[in-house]
Amino acid sequence: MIEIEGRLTSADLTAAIWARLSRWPVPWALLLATVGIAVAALADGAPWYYAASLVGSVSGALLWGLVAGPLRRLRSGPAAGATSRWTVNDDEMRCVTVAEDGGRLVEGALPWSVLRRVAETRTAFLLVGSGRGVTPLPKRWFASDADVAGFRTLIEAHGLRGGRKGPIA
Amino acid sequence: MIELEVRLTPRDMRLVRFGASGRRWQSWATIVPFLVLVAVTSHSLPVLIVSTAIGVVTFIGIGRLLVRRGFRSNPLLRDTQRWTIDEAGLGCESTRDDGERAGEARYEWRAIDRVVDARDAFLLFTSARACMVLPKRCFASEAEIDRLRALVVARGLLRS
Repeated sequence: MIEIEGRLTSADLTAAIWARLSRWPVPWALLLATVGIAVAALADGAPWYYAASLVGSVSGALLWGLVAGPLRRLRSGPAAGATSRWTVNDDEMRCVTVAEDGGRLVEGALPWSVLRRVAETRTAFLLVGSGRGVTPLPKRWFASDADVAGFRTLIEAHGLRGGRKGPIA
Repeated sequence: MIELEVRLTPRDMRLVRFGASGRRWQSWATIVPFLVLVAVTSHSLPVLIVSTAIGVVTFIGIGRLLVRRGFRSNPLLRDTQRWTIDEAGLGCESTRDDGERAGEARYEWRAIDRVVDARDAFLLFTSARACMVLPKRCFASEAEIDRLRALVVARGLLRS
């Protein structure tokens, strides 16, 4: 059994987002850009100027949503600043979230089968579930290098070791 | 104790994205600058109408597409969730279609930031952007819905 405990910071989440930033927003950005260009052309103005404005604003909004959304989720609500305590064994992962005043907020258990893969960066493991979300487990939360190696062994045993790219939170 | 079995649908997820989620202003914040841009760059009424129509249809269409895609790509959303709700908090056990356990969670009431009582569902927000959906069709009776409403009102969590 491996015990992991720590408090997620904005830097952890931002690092996880950038590590997993993938190509999936590109087709959407292209679609929006196409609509923008069509609208600008219909507007009978200076099409490329307005198209460029639209593409820029849409791309900016998309990136803003990709990064600001997860960060806002982290900073708001009763769980903001909470400590996560994970207990990991061969059967499942259990997590207890504890508020700053020590009160318990959420307790959950996840079988390994709900994870699609676990990516590893230099500073964290990224748990990738079925949806677009990613849960970072910073390596500094582990008590020792032996625990990090033990966790790596577990994810390999469950066939979850995967690349870094893919949908993000 | 209130017990309900929930199977979410894409319609439930649309409710989270578009309705009663406290994020309506964000939708308007996206669409109003677009409409202003179209109005400024249009030189005739027909062009303005067509451009606006294209923009609105695209905005709504992409939103719906994202919801549907998210629902299809996330098996967790399609799990059967068995909720038990009482004075202490909310418990949820998820199982897959084949009966395999997909996880469980227990939320203390203090973990809930706010609750939106929408027409078709309760949305329980744990942060500004994350919420759990309890469709009202899944409750056994109107009395059960009233009991949950009373629980959230007593804790000052209800937002209209």
